Amino acid sequence: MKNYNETTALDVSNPAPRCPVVLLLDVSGSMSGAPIDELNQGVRQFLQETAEDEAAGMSVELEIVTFSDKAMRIVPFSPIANVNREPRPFYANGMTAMGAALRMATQDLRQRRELYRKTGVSSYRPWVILMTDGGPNDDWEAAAREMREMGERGRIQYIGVEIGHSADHRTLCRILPAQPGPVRLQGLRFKQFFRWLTDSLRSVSASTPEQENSVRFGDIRSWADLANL
Amino acid sequence: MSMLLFSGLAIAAGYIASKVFGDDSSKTQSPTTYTYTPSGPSVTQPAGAGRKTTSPKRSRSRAKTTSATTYASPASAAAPATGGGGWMAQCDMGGGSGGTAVFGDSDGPVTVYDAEGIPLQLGIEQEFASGGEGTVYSCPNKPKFVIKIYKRRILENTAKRDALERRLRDMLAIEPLRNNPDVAWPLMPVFDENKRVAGFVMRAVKGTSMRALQGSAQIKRLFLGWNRKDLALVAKDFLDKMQLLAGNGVLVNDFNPANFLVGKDHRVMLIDCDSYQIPSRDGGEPHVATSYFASHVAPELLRNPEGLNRPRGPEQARFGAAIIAFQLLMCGLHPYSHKNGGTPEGNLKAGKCPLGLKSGCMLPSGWYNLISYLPFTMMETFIRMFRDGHGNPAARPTLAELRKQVEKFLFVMEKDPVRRDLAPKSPKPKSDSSNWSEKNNAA
Repeated sequence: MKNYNETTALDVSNPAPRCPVVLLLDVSGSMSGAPIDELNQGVRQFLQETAEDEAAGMSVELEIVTFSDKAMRIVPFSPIANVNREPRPFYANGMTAMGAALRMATQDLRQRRELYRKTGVSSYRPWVILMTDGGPNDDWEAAAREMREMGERGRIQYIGVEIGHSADHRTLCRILPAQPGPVRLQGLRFKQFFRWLTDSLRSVSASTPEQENSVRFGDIRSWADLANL
Repeated sequence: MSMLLFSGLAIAAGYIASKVFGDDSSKTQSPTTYTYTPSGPSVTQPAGAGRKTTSPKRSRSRAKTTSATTYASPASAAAPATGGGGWMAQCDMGGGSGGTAVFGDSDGPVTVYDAEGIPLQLGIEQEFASGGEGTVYSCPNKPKFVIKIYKRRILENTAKRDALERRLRDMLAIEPLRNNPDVAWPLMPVFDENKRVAGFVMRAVKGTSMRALQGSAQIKRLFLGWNRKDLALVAKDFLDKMQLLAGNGVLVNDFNPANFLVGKDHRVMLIDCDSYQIPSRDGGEPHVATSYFASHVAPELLRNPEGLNRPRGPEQARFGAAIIAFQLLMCGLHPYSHKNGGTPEGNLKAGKCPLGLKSGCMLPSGWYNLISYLPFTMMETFIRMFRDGHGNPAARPTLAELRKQVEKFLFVMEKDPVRRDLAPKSPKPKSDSSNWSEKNNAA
């Protein structure tokens, strides 16, 4: 049964440049309770608000990968307007297979961008959002290195968000680009984070791919705890 | 000094001033006939650049969380995100006035004055859009007008302020544009408490961003009942507006589709007009605007970005206008998009355009059917613009030629309803009888 509407086919009748976005979400056991509830609400709000925006709704293509005991492609790359805005909630349990999730995302991103190129669809730099309250406990180093290098070369916008104080900050510093490194979420401000993400994607979608480096995003202090940066 | 500079226009502006600053709204009559009011959510896209910046129009409820989009000329382009700080380097951190009412900042109430010194207070309730150069406020109780107030950092820079004053003075002198109901043209200056120019009053226009006219599915969803004929009517009005500007020596530099609004009656409305290139009344160099939209700029400027800081020519504005016209007729497809290509601006710079024979590249997947229904002579005109005119600005067809082709297309669509389909299932048959009308028309 499909939870989300998995219309992965590229809509070639849409001339807008695409902005691929991957959400890599930790749904391990430690996320249970308020964190997973807030995450669920934040994702719903993100789906709703991004799809409704005139520019982002045409440009953003979303993939959601969750990781616990294994990585699961909950939503394969789909135009955000086609993604079910009332998805079944995530449940928290198991371990933290972050390496598998990073591998899956890297491969899917590569394939999607190749599809864009072949069909003549232009695209913005992909966004990869990694949210976790722990650290990987699978084989992660090779997959993490590849993604980190893409981030450091400016080929992707790679944002790492630590949830709570038990996140493995030291390991995450090795997974994410050195600048700015992982950013801690203030409390459980998932909704504020996703609002910021929607607004940033709106701004990107309203620019042109070659001018996206000049796009300004909003202040992250609505959701980020910058004390330890 | 500012008052003196604008004294010649004070009488003409006096009528408008009484409408905006006066307190008897019941007697208000607009100087021209228009029915539009400031728009909210329908104008949520970046409204093109000011001198160097642009930002999304913000609805009040989201104003504090919406970030600005900045398009800088290459000479001053922001550092790429790959620099120190990664993505965070692109975030606006710690801006704002800290809650104090500071003139020209978007977060505090400001008081402005007309030429006769009548004050008008503008508060956060009136603010509905903010960009890199200024903040736009709706007029309390005067829905037919809005007021743009320049940012403090611009007003405090004497050279910039002087340049803005001269530009504004020359804009106010162009009556055909001031009087056009579809053009958000400055109508009168407003002053700060020191009688220095702080911004201007302009007409409020309302419509849907032209950006919405992309993709047959979105067009059908947002413009119920529209077909290709409706798009051609919009293209015709757009070219008319461009000709109106050109006829007054004004050139559009920033062809961001979000700078053009579209009405249900196919009218195109022009916003962010103070980013246009304006002729100088004293015969000197025109007032240059350096803003641009990379995917809609003439290739010689993309290749030699220094040119973006100098006065541009009509053949360069023609090129940008033609891209918009092509996109209107082709449901948003960029004329340089092609298979195995890069970004539209990268393809544009490289001169790879898939139109016509022996182009060396192919149309993106799924677009052949739609393009096949464009009349032959129209295709020929676009090929002259985008292929011949790519390296040779003199070869670019005029706006009048483009408009004539749009009229022909409208004529053949009238005769042949099949051509009105926004998503034809098959290409135009080779032996289609409509070829006759095409040839007949071309003759």
